[in-house]
Amino acid sequence: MPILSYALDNIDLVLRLAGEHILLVAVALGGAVLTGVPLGIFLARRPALAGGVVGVLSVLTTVPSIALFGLLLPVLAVIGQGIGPVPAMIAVFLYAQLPIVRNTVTALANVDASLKDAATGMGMTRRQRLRRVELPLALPVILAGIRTALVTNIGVMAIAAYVGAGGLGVLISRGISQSDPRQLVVGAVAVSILAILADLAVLLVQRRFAPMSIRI
Amino acid sequence: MDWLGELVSYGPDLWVLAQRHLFLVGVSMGLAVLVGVPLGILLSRAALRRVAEGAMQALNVGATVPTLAVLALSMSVLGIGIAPAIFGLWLATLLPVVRNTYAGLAALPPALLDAADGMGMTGGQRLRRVELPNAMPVIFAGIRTGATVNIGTAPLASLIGAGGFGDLIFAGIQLYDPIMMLAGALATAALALVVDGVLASIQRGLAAGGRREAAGSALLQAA
Amino acid sequence: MIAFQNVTKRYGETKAVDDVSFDVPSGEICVLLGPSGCGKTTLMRMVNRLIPKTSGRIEVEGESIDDLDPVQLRRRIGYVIQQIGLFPNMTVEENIAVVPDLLGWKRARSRARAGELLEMLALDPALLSRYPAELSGGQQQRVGVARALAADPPVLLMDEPFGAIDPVNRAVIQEEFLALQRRLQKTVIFVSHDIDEALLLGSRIAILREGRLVQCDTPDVLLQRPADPFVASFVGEDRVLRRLRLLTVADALAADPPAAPTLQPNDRLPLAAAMMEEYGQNDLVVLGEDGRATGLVRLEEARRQGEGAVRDHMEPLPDPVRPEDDLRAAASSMLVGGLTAVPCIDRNGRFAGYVTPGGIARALSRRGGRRPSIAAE
Repeated sequence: MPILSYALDNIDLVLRLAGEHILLVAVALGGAVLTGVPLGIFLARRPALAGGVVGVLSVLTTVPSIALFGLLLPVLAVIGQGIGPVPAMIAVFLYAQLPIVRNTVTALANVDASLKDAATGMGMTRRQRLRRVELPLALPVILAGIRTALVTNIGVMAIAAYVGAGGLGVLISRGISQSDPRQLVVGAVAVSILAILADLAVLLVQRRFAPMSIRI
Repeated sequence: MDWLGELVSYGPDLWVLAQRHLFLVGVSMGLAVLVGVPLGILLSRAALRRVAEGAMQALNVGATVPTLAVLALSMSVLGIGIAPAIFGLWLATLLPVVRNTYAGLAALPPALLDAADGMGMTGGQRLRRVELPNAMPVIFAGIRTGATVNIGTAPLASLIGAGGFGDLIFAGIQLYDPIMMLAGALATAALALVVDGVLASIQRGLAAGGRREAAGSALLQAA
Repeated sequence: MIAFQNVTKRYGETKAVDDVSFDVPSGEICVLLGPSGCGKTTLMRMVNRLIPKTSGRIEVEGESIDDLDPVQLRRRIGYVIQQIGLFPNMTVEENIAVVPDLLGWKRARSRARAGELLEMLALDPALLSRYPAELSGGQQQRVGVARALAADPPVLLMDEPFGAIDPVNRAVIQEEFLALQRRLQKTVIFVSHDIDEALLLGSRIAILREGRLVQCDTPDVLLQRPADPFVASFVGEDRVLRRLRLLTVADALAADPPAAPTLQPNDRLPLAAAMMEEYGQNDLVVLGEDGRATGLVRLEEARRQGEGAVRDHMEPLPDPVRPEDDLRAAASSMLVGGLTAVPCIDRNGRFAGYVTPGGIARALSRRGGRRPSIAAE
């Protein structure tokens, strides 16, 4: 098994690239969560505006990632960041907005009107209602959005190796350019495993935050 | 405005690349629909329900595999060229199509199926007249998702020697020629937006029809 | 006390509530009754300012609601809705403690209060740590009531709170709620579209139609003297029969002068027959030596036998009616037993008189008869 022995011989490299990959995605996605959720909360009360923003974000998301890198490259080249982790992280940040914002808006909009009525009728302020009732109920759907964003963007980050971002995509790109199936397969399998594990991890968090309560 | 002229000068190249690109997209997309929809229908049949849940879970895991990895693995098995590219694109597109076809059919209200059976439809009649029309919005949503995945992945086909707009983008990156890259990126983005726009408007039409169907099934349930 | 003065709510041209004035005295349940779209829910929701009124004045416990911050106002008013609205992300205990928490109670205090309320509503304290989804519909609704009572508000607003429960459980929960209200003496506004529920629970009933208050009276007055044909049809063509539920056997006995002949076991049958003919009854109660009712003799039996002692020809008492029973129960005994005079036996087993058709008729004809209501007790 030349592929397996390659993986074992270069385990340090694979782990380093995987670490890089995780870090890049984590930073970009973290930023996306910190902006996307509040944006979703803001938009949930403004359905007309929400429709527009979600529309723009979904158009943005249809643009293939490699094309987005291509479009960002000349722009970022102005500040000397056309190549490297910056365009990759910006792309991931942008792609992650759609699932996060859309799911936040939808989840908050779908909270049962009678629960909102009960909360208000019992004397909760808007903020208390949001914090104690609406967000806890919306959380599983918001997490589902984050999960989608995470899995998609682990893939996007692999492509970002072509604009010099680093990460596991490096193995794939080298494997292709050097016609070396060992690097190619190890890179592809490693990035797949990473995506599957990340998916499972968020799924577990999601289960945890959705006690039986939500299945009312 | 030098760079604009330069950009325009890629026109003839783009035309050649577009033909290849559209070929890759069209063939892999078409095959994915031709295989994915029947497969989804098959999995949704009562006889296969037990297998179906397992198959869906496998497909869900499959769908998390990054498309670059799918292409790379396809290349490692089939080598370089058009065939491995089409195979990889087909596989990546297939998953959402199968998943949505199955999910759309499995989620139909039992009362609807019961009514169809009760009126004496055969299995085939029920599928054609009741199940597929009612599940169509969901099935089509899967086709649209598949198309987004497909078109997003198609430029990467250039990496395994299949050509298309990716040629300009990757060559542009390697040569650090922003204009060349921009030409490829703009063409790719424009294609993605146009295809998605067309599919979205078809979907809206289906959804409007779907609402009528949904109203019908709601009436049925009320009765 | 809750006071409505010329309260109006307009949506554009339409008046959802039109110049409504009435008071709900402290400790009473006032049922807002009417067909859907009559403005009853709107009227109720204006009290805790979930809907702003267009004009007029609403006072709660002597204070105009406009002088209070809406959020503070709502924390002082219990609120129960048909959809129950338990928060699925919170346990039963947390749900009940919502308002105490908002009011800044210490955790231990609000927890203790939650336990106390479950007991009060006849719910198992083990439910405290459950989630609403694990509860039956009836349990959920009881928790909904407990939650509204958590901070011991003087006023409750209830919007068809038992509407989503099946009829059997609804009857049980209505009785429980009445018993609870007798203890707690809350001032309650209760929206309903069910005349039976209104008659059962209401100290008074306010009937609304197209936003206007048509009549606000005690249930008995409402049935006896509906203000107009709309009210008459709404309370039902069978309103005389409905009134039987509001009046007690004691009412009928009081209306019927207590000429209540009885027999001794040693009396002879001809005497019995003669007494029955004289009083126009087809049955008489037999009292034992201790004054307790021991049996019943029927006129046809006395005639057929001709001779003999009462003790040898009496039959056991049918299920006796009690003074606190409603007249519907007495009328039903009358029909089932084929009696023209149903013996009423008090709690101590002593004979208290006969319920007769004449007595029932006189009880029904009395004006504005009292209601065996919360307020009266």
